[in-house]
Amino acid sequence: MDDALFVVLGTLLGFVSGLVPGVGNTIMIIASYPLLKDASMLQMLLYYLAIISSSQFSGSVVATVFGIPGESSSLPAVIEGNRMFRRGVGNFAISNAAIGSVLGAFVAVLAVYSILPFAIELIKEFYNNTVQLVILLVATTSICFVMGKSIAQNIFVFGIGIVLALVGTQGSPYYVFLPEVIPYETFPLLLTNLPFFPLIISLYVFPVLLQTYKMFDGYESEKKYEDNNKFSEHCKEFYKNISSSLRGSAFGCFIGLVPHIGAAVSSNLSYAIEKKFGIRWGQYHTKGDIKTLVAAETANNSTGLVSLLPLILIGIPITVSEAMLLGYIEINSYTINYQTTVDSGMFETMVTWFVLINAVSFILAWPLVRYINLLQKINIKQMVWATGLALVALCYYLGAQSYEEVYYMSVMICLLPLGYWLRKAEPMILVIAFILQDKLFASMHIFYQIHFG
Amino acid sequence: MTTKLKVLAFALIFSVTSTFAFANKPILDVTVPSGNSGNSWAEGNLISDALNRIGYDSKVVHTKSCINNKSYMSKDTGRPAVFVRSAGRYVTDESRNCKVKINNKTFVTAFYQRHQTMCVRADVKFTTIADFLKGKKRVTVANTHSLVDGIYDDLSAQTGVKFVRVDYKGSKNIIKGLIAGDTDLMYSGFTKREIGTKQINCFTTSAKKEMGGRVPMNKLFPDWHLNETGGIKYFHAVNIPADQLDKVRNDLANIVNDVKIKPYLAKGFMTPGIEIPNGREAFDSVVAIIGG
Repeated sequence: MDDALFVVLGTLLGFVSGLVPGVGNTIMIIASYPLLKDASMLQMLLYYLAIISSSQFSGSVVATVFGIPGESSSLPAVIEGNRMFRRGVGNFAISNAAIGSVLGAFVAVLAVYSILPFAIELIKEFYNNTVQLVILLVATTSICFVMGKSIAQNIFVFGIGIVLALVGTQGSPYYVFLPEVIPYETFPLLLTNLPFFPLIISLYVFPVLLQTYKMFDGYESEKKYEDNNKFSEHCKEFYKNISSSLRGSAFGCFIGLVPHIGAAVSSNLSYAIEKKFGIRWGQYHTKGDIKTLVAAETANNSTGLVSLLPLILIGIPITVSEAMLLGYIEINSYTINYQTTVDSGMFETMVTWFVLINAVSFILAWPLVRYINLLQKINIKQMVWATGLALVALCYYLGAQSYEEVYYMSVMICLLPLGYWLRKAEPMILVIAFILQDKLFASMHIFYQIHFG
Repeated sequence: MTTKLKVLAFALIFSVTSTFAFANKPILDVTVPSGNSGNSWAEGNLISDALNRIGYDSKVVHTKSCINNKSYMSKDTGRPAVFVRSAGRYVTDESRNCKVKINNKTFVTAFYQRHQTMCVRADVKFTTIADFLKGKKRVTVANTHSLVDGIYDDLSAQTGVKFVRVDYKGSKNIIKGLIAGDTDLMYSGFTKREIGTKQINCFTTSAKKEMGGRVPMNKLFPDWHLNETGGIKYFHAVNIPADQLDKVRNDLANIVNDVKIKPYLAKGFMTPGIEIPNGREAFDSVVAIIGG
């Protein structure tokens, strides 16, 4: 398939992922596996960029109109956007968030091109195993300290992810994990490690869908979206808030590199700082403030491209959706680092498409917003179940591809109770631990051999 | 018969025969029981492409590890396959209880024999190996994680310097580790990649004579048991029907003359399997040295 087709599909499905609150980009990436399993690395990266960019536009619309956050980074849109919506100026909240998002994307491109040459030089000069180990440790363990309600619970969930990844035969160093405890002789397929897809369905998709389902308990929306203003009026309004947008962009570019929570932190921190200034200057509107909203939404979109840098340059993901993408890239036998992305010229193609995706998403989002009221007629709970069932069917299909459908379904079913428990925890911690265990342990083993061998 | 009927009959015969010919295209996949960034992966793809060129229906199946590969072999996929296996890998698999039996039916033919090399970073200057080792108590050596244990023990005893193995996943990562400064040396197969990477200097090979200005290992480390041991790879059969084995054996023996494979072997100074008088014997002797 042509690269453009992946961009178009990614953009459209990104809109959908933003529109279904709680489901988000990660589940959309998981569900996209059949589409990506024969794709090139460029097509996978373009598809990913299209999803994360276009979902920002539809996600903020849903957060503003429904008052439900798609992701934690949409919280400012829920607070300020929904307040504005309730006082009848939701159209300005949506338009300014969208224009800010486009500006944020462009600023991110400039920022990335400014730091890229230095970043590559640094990697060439200093990227040895010790540095890699430190980055991997930060990328994996930091998630335990920045998410969820309890660090102890997070560490426990992280540990479960590591243990599940260890089941079977390990390559470097070589050993079979707990041969006395795990019944490898009865179930020899366990020696081949737990399959990725069924595990993700049970331990990420299932708890996230349960959380989403609960979010919509007793939800009712009484107000309809309306927009009677001209495009030029929206632009004039944005112009008044452009300094907030630029401040948000700067935050987004800078904080986007914080593992796992870059988008949420940049969005919420921009919001908090803008709010503080607003209160100090007497400009903050208690019934929905547009400046704080614009700053937060712009920061959110700047983060999109910047947070992709560690994955593109050194192959280390710093968000769950990136970890999923890396999983697909590795399943499809590609190597991702600055040589295969930047030196090969692939990154320039990605940036060109990124700018185009944002411009097109903006142009498309505008007329589509008018149909947001139709979403109120859709039963979101049924949509959540349909998503879950579709992914179970996909799991069976993928198992059948390698003649292991019984194994896939058995693993999925056996892990469901754990997935049910994870609805009250942070399932993405488990996913990160599971995906990066191999890299982390190999790097630790090399470190040990170099210094203590 | 009218002209129209003749054309129709011809078209019918053509379509039937061409469909038959397509349906009869022999299947021979190439499984790759290792990572996807090293030589094994590249070779798997090279072989699969070459098989397609000589009329097979071939695709690469990435089985990732010996265990997965064994599991794949036990399944009725309906697609015969081969995989390329080195003597080193065979020894490691055996020691790790992933036994895949070699016999006359599974040992199809030797693929190639190649030399091993030792390299340092290009900016490390030395004239003799004694120069390099002078003042060092330990030397770290990057190698693939699939090597058997204890390969540097006698080398350490001979030189009085502790040679510490550092295991990387895949041959590409060995070079990266050396360039990044993780290790002092690397020990790996002598291929196009080792020869072509400017940041490293491969100063010796396991060839018995000097090769491209590189001193033989047997002169540098005369008592090391691996100083003349290179690598040898063979094709292992996976569910190939007995009546097709001879044809497959013949085709795979001659695949070293393929337009892409021939230059690949030549650039790495490798000896094609067809030029090795008794492939199985050569393989067994390397296994005996590596495995001790």
